[in-house]
Amino acid sequence: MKIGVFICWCGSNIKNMVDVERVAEATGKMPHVVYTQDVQYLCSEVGQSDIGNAIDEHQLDRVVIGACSPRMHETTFQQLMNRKGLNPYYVEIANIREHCSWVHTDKAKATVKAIDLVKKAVAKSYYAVPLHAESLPVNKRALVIGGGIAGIQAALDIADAGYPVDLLEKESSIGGKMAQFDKTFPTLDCSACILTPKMVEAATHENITLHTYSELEDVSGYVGNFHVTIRKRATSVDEERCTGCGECVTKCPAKVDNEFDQGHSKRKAIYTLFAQAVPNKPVLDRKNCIYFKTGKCGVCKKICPTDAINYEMEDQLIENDYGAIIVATGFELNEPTHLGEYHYGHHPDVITSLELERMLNASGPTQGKMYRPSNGKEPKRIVFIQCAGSRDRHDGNSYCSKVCCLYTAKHTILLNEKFPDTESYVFYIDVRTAGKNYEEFYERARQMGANYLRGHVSKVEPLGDSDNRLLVRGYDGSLGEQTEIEADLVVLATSIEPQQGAKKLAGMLGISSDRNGFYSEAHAKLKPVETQTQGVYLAGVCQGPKDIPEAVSQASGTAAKAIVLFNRGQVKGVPTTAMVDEELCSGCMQCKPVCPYEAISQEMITERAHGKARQRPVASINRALCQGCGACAGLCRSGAMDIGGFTGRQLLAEVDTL
Amino acid sequence: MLGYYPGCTVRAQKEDGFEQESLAILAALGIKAQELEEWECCGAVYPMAQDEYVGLLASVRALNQTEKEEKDGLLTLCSACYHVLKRVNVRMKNDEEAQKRVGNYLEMDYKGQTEVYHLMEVLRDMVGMNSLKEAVTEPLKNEKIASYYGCLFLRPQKEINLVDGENPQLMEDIVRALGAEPVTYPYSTDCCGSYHTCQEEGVSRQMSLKLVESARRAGATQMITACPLCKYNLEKCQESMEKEEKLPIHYMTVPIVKAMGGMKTLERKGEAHAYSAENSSQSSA
Amino acid sequence: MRIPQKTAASHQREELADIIRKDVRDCYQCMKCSSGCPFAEEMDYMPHQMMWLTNLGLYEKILNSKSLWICASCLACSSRCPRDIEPAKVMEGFRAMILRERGRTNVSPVIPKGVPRQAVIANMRKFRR
Repeated sequence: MKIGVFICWCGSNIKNMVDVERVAEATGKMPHVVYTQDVQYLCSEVGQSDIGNAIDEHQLDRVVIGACSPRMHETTFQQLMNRKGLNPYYVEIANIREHCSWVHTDKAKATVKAIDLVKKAVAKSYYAVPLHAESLPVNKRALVIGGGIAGIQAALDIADAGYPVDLLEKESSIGGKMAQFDKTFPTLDCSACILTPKMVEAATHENITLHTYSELEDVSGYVGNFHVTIRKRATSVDEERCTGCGECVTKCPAKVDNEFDQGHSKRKAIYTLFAQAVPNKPVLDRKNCIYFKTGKCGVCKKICPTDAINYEMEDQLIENDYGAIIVATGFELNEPTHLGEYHYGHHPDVITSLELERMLNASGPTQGKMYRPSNGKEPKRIVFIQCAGSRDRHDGNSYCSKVCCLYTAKHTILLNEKFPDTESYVFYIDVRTAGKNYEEFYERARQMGANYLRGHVSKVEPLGDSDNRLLVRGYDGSLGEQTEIEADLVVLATSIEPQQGAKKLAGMLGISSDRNGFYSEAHAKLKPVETQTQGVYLAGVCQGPKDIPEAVSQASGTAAKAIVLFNRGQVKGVPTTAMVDEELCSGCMQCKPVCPYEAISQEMITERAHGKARQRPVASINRALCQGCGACAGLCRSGAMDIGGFTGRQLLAEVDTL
Repeated sequence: MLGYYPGCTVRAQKEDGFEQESLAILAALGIKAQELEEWECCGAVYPMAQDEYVGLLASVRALNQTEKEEKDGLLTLCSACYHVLKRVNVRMKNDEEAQKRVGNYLEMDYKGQTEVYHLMEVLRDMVGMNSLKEAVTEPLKNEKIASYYGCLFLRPQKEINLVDGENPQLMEDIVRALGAEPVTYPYSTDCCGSYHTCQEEGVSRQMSLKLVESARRAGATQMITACPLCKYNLEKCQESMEKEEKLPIHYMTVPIVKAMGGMKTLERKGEAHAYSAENSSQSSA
Repeated sequence: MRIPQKTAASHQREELADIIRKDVRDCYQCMKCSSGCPFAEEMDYMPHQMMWLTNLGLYEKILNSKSLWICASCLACSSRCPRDIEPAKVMEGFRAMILRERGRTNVSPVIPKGVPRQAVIANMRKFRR
């Protein structure tokens, strides 16, 4: 065995805190080490060719690198090994930057530690075994969960590339939150005007199948081969027969608060979500249906000209296989009743931004007219409170909801345009306008007359006057004075939150959430649409607050990832998976329950003993599912389980050098 | 049987009638309370400095005494006593360091077991608004009553946990039960100026006046409170006004007594309760 | 104002931290404390300015301020602080630092006739030693 050791300076990153020459010298004395060198940048072309030349010249069969984290350049070095005809798992990396030079301040001690780290890597490489990744076929069909703008965009992109897509939506129509908005910032495009063409395109695309009023029931499998069960909730309306004429909706006697209008209008028990709903066929909300509550009524059934109403309809379970899953489940808005100082829920004229959005919307509950919920009159003075529950560690969410600054600017602009005699006051902590043309948009809001006051509002309380107005008590940082405003309407920029069911879905998909409940991407910078589970991608606000252009770009990003996967047609598995030594395995199957990926099953093998063949159970690894976490190897009592690249022998050799 | 902690202020101002009226109301509604055999001043302020333990001692003694006397909780009337006793109790429940230090000093093992109650809490949780309403014989039809809680009953919400600190409705519910109309007015949860009355008198006066004016503008015919200091400040700020200009400030017991038929009626009812309790093995409350 | 060369020494910062057990550096100057403070008009430094002076280490300004002796711990600020810093507690911390070691107070009591005992005791406990 011939080992070469290469120590990287990483410019001054390592060299300033570690005596690289001493490291090279010390490790050069280890058995089997035939060559050592310290190089300014190992990742550079020069560095790469230095390693390549040494491999040729000294016939090296193992390479040990002392450099940055393997997360950075492991692939770079593995590819070099491949080019030189060596197994890529014959390269071992000691992290002497993140684990050493960057975190220490004493050069002498850091050097000793670096020597130890490289020695460990050398010892480990003695026992390296060649590893090979397996190729697995990919089912070229995608599932997109969530029919908001992100989900629609992802579905359209994948479908346009020629692959079939199933688009899953829990409401009765696709469109998501964007369908509720009036205008969009910073261009003031009509939200519906730019969204509905995409909705129609998705519905009519030959490669897209819509599953509305449906939810994910179960997921199993792995990248390229997910097996999914979808629950299509009973709509009580036969889709084939229904023509969408709307007779049933008109005649239905049961009225309930319309969630789409944030409760500012009524809908029927049988209803379509909104006028441009896709598909434009009603669903029956059984919780509020008089027939389902009392057994009497049945008006919709009687009146339907095509006999499409079916009270006996049951939930349907649809099973399908997919190669990739895109999660685009969006968000919810926090209901700020817990922020007692703002009086939301106690006074009808304290509303949320989304309620205002519906009010301003021409197809909203008031056809775009502003009104005070308390008395129906037009509000003249409107106060906006920013960060109502965002950036609030005390009684809210600690993160920034990101879009409120801009949509509030939009609201003040729209109000000033449509109702020139209204006054807008915005209490803010910071105004954040990072984004193309966003600063200009904020400027426009101020020029058009919005009054921005820097300071958080401490209390909103009823004024107790005949008009039932509100007293907003704030502070104007510029004046350096407490500032009170008598307001007709108070609008709270409420916090964006993950969907209620986000955790449950994460469990089904095997993806993780951050401390705020948003889904975690695989890498904050370089893998922003991937998750830790291969083949599952994230688009839109389910991954964190973002605006429409960001959600759309991210959605197209996920589509690209899925298309790459489908084009390739196969996936390389992780080679550093668990391996069973069948000779040693007793078949106790203790490893099975600890496996988080359900990659372990029992298998019968045939053995010959004393001239007789006999059957014996052993553990078997599905290498496609195994992620190499090592839980099984740590637990195995007979020492039959090992992890490729991290065998017990290798780890012990590392320990022995210390 | 509740333990009863009068506190120095309420006891010293006996002639105000707050104590007498409160106990009479409770007795008439079948709630029994007996003064603790031993008690001392709660300290009037909760020690906010986290490293200070001496300020906890007096309250812990009272809380422990309640347990020793096997009472079902500790009733108090004064806002300061309620605030301090309750917060000390929360601290003793959750702060192991405080348990250790106070326990060592007082040679007792107290971990916040005693429940602390205020009169208005007893009316809500033990009597119930419906029973209170039933006990009203002379509804206060023409009164518009502004309730003023004062900071000590409202904050910190998590520890005091008596009402919604930003939008309290308990005294308002009591007002409704009495047949009067509750008044909503701005600044109702603001401070009255508190103990500045002994130092920067002008500050207290100004702040109290803001509250009184706000209540008056909202149409109040009287203000009620359960805090002796708030009552003092709210009255004092109107000192120089003509009598008819003044907004009457009452303890919250005053309208209750009135609506229930006056002190004489209450005392009679209380005696009847005591008599029936003596003659049956069951004890109420 | 020119920030002086010498700001609060680390032992002073530690002393404050021991008393209040809060990290004032969490403050992002939203001014909610000042917006709801019923005593703001009487203060020389607003509550949010007191928090900022704390972070800058300009303790002398705080220790000499009038605001410290105006704050009556009504807790309006503390109950609404989105960063959970509890400005009233921070004020109490500085008062305690003065009363415990420096032995001075800026307050001279006036005790009008008929004032409830509760106020007299509270005033003593809060502002004197």
